[in-house]
Amino acid sequence: MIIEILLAAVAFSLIALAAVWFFNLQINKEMRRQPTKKADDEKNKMYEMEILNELGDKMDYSLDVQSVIETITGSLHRLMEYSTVSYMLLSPEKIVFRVSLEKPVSRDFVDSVKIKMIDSISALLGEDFKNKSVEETLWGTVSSGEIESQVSSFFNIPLVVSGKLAGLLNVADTRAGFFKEEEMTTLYKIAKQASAAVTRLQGVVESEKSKLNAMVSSMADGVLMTDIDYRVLVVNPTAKKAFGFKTDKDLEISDFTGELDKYFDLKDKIEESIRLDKIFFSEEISLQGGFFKIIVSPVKNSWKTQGCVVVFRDINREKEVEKIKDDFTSMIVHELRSPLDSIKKMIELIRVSKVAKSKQSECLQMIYGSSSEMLELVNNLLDMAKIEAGKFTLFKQLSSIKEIIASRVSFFDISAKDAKVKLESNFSQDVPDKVNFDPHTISQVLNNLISNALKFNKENGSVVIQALLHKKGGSILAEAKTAKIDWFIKNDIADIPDSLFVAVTNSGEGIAEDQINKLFNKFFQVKSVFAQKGGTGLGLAITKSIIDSHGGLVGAESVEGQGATFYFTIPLNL
Amino acid sequence: MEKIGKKILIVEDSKNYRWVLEQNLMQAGFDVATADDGEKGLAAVKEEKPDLILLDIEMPRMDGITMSKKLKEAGENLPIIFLTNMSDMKHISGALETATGYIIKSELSVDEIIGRVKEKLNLK
Repeated sequence: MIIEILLAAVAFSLIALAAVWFFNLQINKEMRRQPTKKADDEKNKMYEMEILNELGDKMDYSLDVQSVIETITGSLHRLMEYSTVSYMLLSPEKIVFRVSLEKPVSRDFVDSVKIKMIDSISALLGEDFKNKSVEETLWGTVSSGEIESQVSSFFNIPLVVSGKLAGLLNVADTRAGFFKEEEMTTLYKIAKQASAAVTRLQGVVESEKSKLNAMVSSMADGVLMTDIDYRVLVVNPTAKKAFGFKTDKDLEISDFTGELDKYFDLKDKIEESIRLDKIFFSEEISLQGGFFKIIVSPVKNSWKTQGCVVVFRDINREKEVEKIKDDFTSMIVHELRSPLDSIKKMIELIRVSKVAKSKQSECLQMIYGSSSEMLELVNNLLDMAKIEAGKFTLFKQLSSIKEIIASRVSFFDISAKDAKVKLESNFSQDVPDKVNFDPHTISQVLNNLISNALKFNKENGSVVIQALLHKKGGSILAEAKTAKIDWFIKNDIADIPDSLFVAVTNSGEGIAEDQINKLFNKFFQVKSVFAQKGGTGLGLAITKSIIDSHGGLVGAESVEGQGATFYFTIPLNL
Repeated sequence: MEKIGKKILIVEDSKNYRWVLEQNLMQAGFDVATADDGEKGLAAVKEEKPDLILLDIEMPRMDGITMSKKLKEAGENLPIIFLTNMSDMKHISGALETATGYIIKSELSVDEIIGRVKEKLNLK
């Protein structure tokens, strides 16, 4: 009979809590009027404040309902006397049952408490929990049979988190009618507040968690998180991709350890990381997704280690840069060594008089040519270094582009004749006499473009240096047509302010469409077909930097097999 | 200078290096023909009928490895000595597959190169 009444009380306890709380206040008011009860009342209040304070502290760190309940059950003896305090927590697979024996009771007593609690839960949820597996932990001494110990009084308090029953708290005693109303009320109140706090916190954590999840899943590095038993908690898409797993595949730790076998034992590293509280960094490893470095670090909250996070740092980009730098260095060495080697061999020829007197001046001319090439390369390298260090400065003055082009044409005259290429220039009438730019660096740009145009030309080909005045909003193609300029630019270039537009057009083999945009990249030539034709590609990268700092544009267009036009602009109002 | 009566074809894009080799080989008594890429090299093999080719690996239009493969396809079994400055083993192993001669670095002194040429032609 008593059991049924209590079960009913439990079933309605959620609704009744408010009433009980109100009732409790009334009792407390009455108690204050009764001096004999005052001591008890204060004890309850003190306990309530202490325990709520303690719970508040713990809840900052953890959402662990279990640790919250344990905080309550662990200190309950300060509030009241009882034989046992127990709790049950529901999880999909099982019921966790913990019972603390404050006084020795028999095994029957414990079993009886257990049954009463399961009945309560079944009643509350309208579902039979009798056959659910129960994981039991018992603290205290179970007495042998001779002591008469029956559950004569007890009460259950439901633990509700986010509107759902998470578990049950039970206090029981061998003596009948033992528990005072105000003690029960205090405990109800504490449990309710704890439940409410966990609920609130869970809301906050859920929203934080979804932010965190979004962040983790969009991370460029792979992330794998496990608990201390190596159960996989989180795997982001990058980590799956690194191992070549399908994105919808559920993964276990063995999926990862297997792949990493030949480098190290991932489980070992996780275990070590947790045990020694140490971060482990791997050497670079090669997976399906390329090159990675692995970082294993323990995950802790303030009082315990919860697991381990494994980060797969994508180092493919770094590897690529490293490779490009290596290629670049070996190309520079090659480019310097070849002319130097020729110089040495030519000097050797003259020194041992293997070469006829008549050939000697030709030989000296070639030595001169080779050493000029080397000097040009070294100068380019120094310019590039200056540009990269941000030490490249322009000295702008009113200068004449026509004069500069004329001087470049005469400078390259001999080389053009040697290469059997016709070198000429072509201006539109309206090119202004003086424009503000740095004549030295613009000469350098023209040197680069003309020397490339000669180098990548064919016998009896031509190189034309063209200049026109571009008006904002006008069409470059129309302007060129008016000025009778013939080039390989087929697409109009939008949004150029009033500018000098200078182009160098050659009749070489042209450049494939997909290569053109890469031309002005430093290091580009390393990979391109042009590498075979000599040259480092530094010239175009320097050209781009110079024009960039003038506020202009550089570009190129080509018709494969017919030739290419390289152009740059110098804005007039700068 | 006493003529050896053997013709060497130098296929090399670096004008300077080609010139140096040409002068030295001529001094050593060889007849010399030159070309500056693989395509011209193939034409020169037909026209000049050389006894040996000094063949650069990295060249524009047609590289030395392609040229040597084409020769093999055409049934030409001329001895080839590859010239390379590349320390890149990929290129070298590619050349090795088609090589009928040595691979030497152009940093070798000219006398050493001439030594290899003579050795290959069983001279001296």
